[in-house]
Amino acid sequence: VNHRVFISYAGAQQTHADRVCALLEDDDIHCWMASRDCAPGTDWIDEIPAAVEQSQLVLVLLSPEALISDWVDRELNWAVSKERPLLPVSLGQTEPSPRFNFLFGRIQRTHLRERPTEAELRRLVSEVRDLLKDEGRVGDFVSEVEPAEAPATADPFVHRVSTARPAYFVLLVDHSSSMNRKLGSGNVRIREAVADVVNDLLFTLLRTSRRPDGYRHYFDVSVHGYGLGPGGEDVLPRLPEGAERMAIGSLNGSWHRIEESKRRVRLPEGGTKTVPVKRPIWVEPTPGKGRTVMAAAFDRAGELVGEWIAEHPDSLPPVVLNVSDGGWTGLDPMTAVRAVQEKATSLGPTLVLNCQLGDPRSPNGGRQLIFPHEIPPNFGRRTRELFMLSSPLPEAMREEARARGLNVHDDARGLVYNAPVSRLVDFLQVGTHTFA
Amino acid sequence: MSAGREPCIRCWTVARDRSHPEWNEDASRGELDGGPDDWTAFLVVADGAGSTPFAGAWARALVDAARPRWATDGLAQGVEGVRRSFDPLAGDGAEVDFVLEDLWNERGSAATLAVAAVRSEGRRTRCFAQTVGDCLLLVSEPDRLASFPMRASAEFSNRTEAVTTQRPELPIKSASYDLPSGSMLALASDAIGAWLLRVNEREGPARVHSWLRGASESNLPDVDDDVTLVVLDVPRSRMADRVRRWVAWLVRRASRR
Repeated sequence: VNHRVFISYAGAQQTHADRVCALLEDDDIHCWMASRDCAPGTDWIDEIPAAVEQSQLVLVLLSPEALISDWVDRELNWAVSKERPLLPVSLGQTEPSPRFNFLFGRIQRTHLRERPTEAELRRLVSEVRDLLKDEGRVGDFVSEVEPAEAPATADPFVHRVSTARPAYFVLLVDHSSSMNRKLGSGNVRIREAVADVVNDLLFTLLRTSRRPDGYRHYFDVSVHGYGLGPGGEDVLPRLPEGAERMAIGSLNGSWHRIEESKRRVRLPEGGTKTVPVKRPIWVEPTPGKGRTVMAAAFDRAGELVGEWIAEHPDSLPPVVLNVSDGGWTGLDPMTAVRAVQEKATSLGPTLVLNCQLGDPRSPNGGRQLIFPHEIPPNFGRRTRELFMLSSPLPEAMREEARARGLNVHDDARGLVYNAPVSRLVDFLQVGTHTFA
Repeated sequence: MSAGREPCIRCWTVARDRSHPEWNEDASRGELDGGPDDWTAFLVVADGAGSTPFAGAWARALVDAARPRWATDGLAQGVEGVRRSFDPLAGDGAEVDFVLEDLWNERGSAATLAVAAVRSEGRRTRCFAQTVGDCLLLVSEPDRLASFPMRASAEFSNRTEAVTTQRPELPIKSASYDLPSGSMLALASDAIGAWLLRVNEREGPARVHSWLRGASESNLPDVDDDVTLVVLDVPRSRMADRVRRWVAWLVRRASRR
């Protein structure tokens, strides 16, 4: 059955969305909701925009979570750009952000209580029904604005990391059986490359917090592996002694071992010298044996992030970094990722980033992608999915990336393919950076 | 506080985390010699870059070694001497862990620097200054504010040129000013420099002038950074006061007509 109404909402308002949907469908007005209508195995990257385009009305449930939701933002933007009629419904005291206000233009908002009564919801349903009947009136609900000109959302990452306002990194590490494959024709297995990514990032965080008198508490970290455990479906902590979360300074000395190598460094007076380089290893490349339960990993990340935000309500938003070879088994992680992205500190929503390690023998030849704004055609569906599951890169991070010579578009997303992610730490405002 | 008949230097430095003054990576110094009519002053501010190790120690080493000649043509040579002798890892013989050593080998230390030398000879007070990076020099009068090397608050960012232990080349910027009677010369680390320029952009030079005049450690703004400010009060000269009174009398007389 073709739907007539697309319901755009944040996961925190799932119950309200379900009630509105049920009442509309009782009235033979069929609806489309991502959580229900994105069937497993379907390509929601194309489905969501298509569902918005095919709808006769896009009903937007406005809540504090929706205002910061990247997904609601994307759905709304798409609806405005495709000139679909909009019905904004404010829940409780929610006032649209300047960005949403701009996108709605002159469209009237409907208000509901935070916990709407049955009678209120029925009134909303009859409003929708009347609107759909009246083709003349529905035109008044089409936004006349140009979405490209909408003001940007406030960027939390302009704020500096400090001991009073630390940052939190949650690393999710794929340990599924597919990680045992070799990366191309060399001897390196994907799980070894993934462990390198994680250890590099942890070491970069540790170094960034190092001062001559000790470690500053600039970061908290969690590392959780998925596809572990007897059933191969568990999400387990991977930090030393099974810690769920550690302050960055506690990582000092708690490594499993130290790898030693040599590196040439430039001398100020010219020439170079060879210096020993030590690299701590906290996370070993454990052989994978389980399933890629990415949704469960993001569910766990949501819990960790929620607990941390409760303790640090005014800190920088947490950063969740998922390191995998792409793809998943079982539940689609989209709903879990949306829920993580809706958890916010007073400065802004949680950032979800993805690091994918791909096979150099694939059609893209193992080419690197660093914070792309679109996925080139020779990259697979897995990469496109991870791209959509990645948050837009905040402006302050884009600026830092550009200052480091990376060509980063304004619409860049937090996806890295076959490239190191430890430089991400440099994008945070920890201290004044100098031109090298 | 109004400008007196004698020059005066006031200095403040406050750590970003005020409960940890030892974390302050800024350093400053102000010296005054002679007076009341023929005098010299020397001001220096260095702001250690937090993304590099030993930034505070490097800033202090630069400030300790700074000489008035650095404000004209001796900066590169002077810094080179400090760079060659600076060895934070030698320290007190304590074992340096590899994290710090690795960071030091890779990045070295960095700091921004501003030095100003002032000479007053009778009616004319001249200032020569050299800067590397975004430490700010301000010349404040009630109706005018000059700043160097930044002119607007928007020019500040989280990225700056710096004096580093790893790179001998110095991107030096030079300036010279006549300091009017009753004006103030200030050197400021970046965050408070940007704040002062924002005040100027919003409320005008008179507001900056009165704020600098009454500045004290307790009213330094919280700008999410270490704050360092060195202010030289240029004394009022009798001749300048006489000219000012004469101009005011002429203006009053013209307006009565």
